Amino acid sequence: MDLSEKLRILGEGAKYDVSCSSSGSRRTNKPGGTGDAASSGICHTFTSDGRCISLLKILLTNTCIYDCAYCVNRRANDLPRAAFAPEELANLVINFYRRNYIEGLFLSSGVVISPDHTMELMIKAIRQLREVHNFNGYIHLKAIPGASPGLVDAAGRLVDRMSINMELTSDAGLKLLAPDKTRRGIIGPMTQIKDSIINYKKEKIYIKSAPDFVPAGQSTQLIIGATPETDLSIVKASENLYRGMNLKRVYYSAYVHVNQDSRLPVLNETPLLRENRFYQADWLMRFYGFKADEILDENTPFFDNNLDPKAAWALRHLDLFPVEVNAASYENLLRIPGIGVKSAQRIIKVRKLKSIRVEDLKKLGVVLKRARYFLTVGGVYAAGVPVKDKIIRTKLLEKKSLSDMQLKLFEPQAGFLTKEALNGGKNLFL
Amino acid sequence: MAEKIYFYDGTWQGIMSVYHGIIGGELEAGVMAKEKGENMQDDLFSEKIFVEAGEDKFTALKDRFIKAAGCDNYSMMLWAFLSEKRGIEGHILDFIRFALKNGKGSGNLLSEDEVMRVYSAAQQVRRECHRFKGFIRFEEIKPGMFYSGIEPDYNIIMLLAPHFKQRLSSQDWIIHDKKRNTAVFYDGSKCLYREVISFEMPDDSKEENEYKAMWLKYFQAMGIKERKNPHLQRQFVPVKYRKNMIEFDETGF
Ligand code: SF4
Repeated sequence: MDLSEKLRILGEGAKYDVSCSSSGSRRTNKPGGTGDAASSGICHTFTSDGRCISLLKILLTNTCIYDCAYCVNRRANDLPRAAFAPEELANLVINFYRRNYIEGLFLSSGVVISPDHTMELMIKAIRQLREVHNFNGYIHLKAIPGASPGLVDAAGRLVDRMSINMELTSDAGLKLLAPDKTRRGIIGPMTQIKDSIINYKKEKIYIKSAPDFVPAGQSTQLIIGATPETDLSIVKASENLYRGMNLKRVYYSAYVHVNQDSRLPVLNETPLLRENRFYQADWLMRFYGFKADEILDENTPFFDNNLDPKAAWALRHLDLFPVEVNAASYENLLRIPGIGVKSAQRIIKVRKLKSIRVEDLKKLGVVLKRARYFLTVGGVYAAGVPVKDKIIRTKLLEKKSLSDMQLKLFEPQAGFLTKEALNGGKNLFL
Repeated sequence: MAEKIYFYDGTWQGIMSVYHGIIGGELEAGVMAKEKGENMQDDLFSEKIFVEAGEDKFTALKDRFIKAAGCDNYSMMLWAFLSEKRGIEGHILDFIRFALKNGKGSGNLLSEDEVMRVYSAAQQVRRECHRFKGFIRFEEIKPGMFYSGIEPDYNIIMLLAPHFKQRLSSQDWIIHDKKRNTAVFYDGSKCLYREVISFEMPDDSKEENEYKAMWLKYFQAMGIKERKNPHLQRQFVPVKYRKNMIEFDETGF
């Protein structure tokens, strides 16, 4: 099989993996080397469905001994199979990188022979890149559940980010849909990576030359809509992963119906809107100081189709509004629908110079169309309607055309870029 | 009294020298324009003065500005300048005055017009520069020598150079602004910024064509047909940039 056909098959097999980010690492280029992983959020092109291509997202092989119900590559499926030799893949990556097609590599794989055998092959490809080609660009490795600690450790010293996809948050779900995988095989390596990140960092304090371990941190992916869990339970699981596993990112992937299988739900369409709600909720937890049980609770265990989670929260807490823009704390500004991290920061800065007028708000990035129901400026409430749930709710309802809708769905990624750039401090005036 | 028009050589050093004169009181207030720019038309009622770029004047103002208002605000001005927008010289002068008074936080005070005008120009340049860090495509035109031709809206190749110098340090490369006929040449150790008199693209090697074909194939495989959304794709990769990106063919799609 020629190389370009392999590239097609193994790219196809990896494309539903949602993570594409190449941020958070501090690996810099070395003399005589190629590549630098320290800049973040660079998209090299966008696919026909409008998704960012940053890393070469690819499988080492799409052959798999497992039979996960939701996966195209599962054993039971009859489809063309291919595999890269480790050297072949390394060579492709370095040549794509030197032409600026890509920001680095996102390597994942079906399981061949055993988890350890597969991990060894992946490590071989990555080692080739790092050691033979002196490649210092970004590498994200999707580790194989059940891989042994020695291999996880070896991999962690070579890559920037490592992830183990949890996919299903409940034991029942895992048993039903991914019977070959065990909870322990997922949680074990995840915990190991978490602990090693901490330990290697400690070591580095004393020994400067100590290696970095997964410097861009650990992430995972959850499937949305393949099992009957409530949104609340998934958001809570996600919060636990951030807290308990120190994850950098949790990705959410709307379940795509690729296999005929009686264990799977039959959905008329991919739950993209629901997926987007998870990204919005995730955003609120990471940057806006929301807790999982503020976003959803026992009375409202599912997201509102018509309202984003922040607006929904605000409507459940109308007693806290309106908020005075000239007096509210940063934390309280962030709770106002239509005010984001950047606009809240700007408001605080401008307030030091003068008091804010209504006409300033737009320039500071506030989305007045939404925010005006929740704030006063200099004591004046300008929305012109009473602060009542029903009234504001109808005003906020998302009436959007389909293409706007799809655009919104991908916003988390787009927004992610700016946020990361802001954190990296490299871009001077976001 | 005749209005003054100050001409400068088109460089950042040049315009900074004009600012130095105006802020220091040696020059009266007036409008500013590039020497060979659009404002050259004969205007009987204005007095035209050419201001020579001066290293001393430039450094003096730069140091004073950075001390008072910080590096971030300084780069913001420079970026705004590279937008080459009509009238940007005057807006930057307003911002310099504002920032000298209001200090390091100035760039955040977007409610003020002096800040907003420069900020938004800088922001557009920043955005285009960020895009091109991804959209640039190199091809190997000689063993070890990589070429990329681009046509950006703004004058960004100098801003791109440090980025590629950092990551592609062990190969020679050229980034050619085909619109402005300028290029950055990197020879394995330093970047040189030059005007381009002429350039002829050599034919691609077999190897080069194979990499291009593989990238195209990968790119096409990554699209999800059921979610095709050309509108969204155009927002992220505007058609004007596609000419120089190999995954979009000559027609730009
Ligand atoms: S182990 Fe991975 S590749 Fe194999 S069937 Fe399961 S999800 Fe698919």
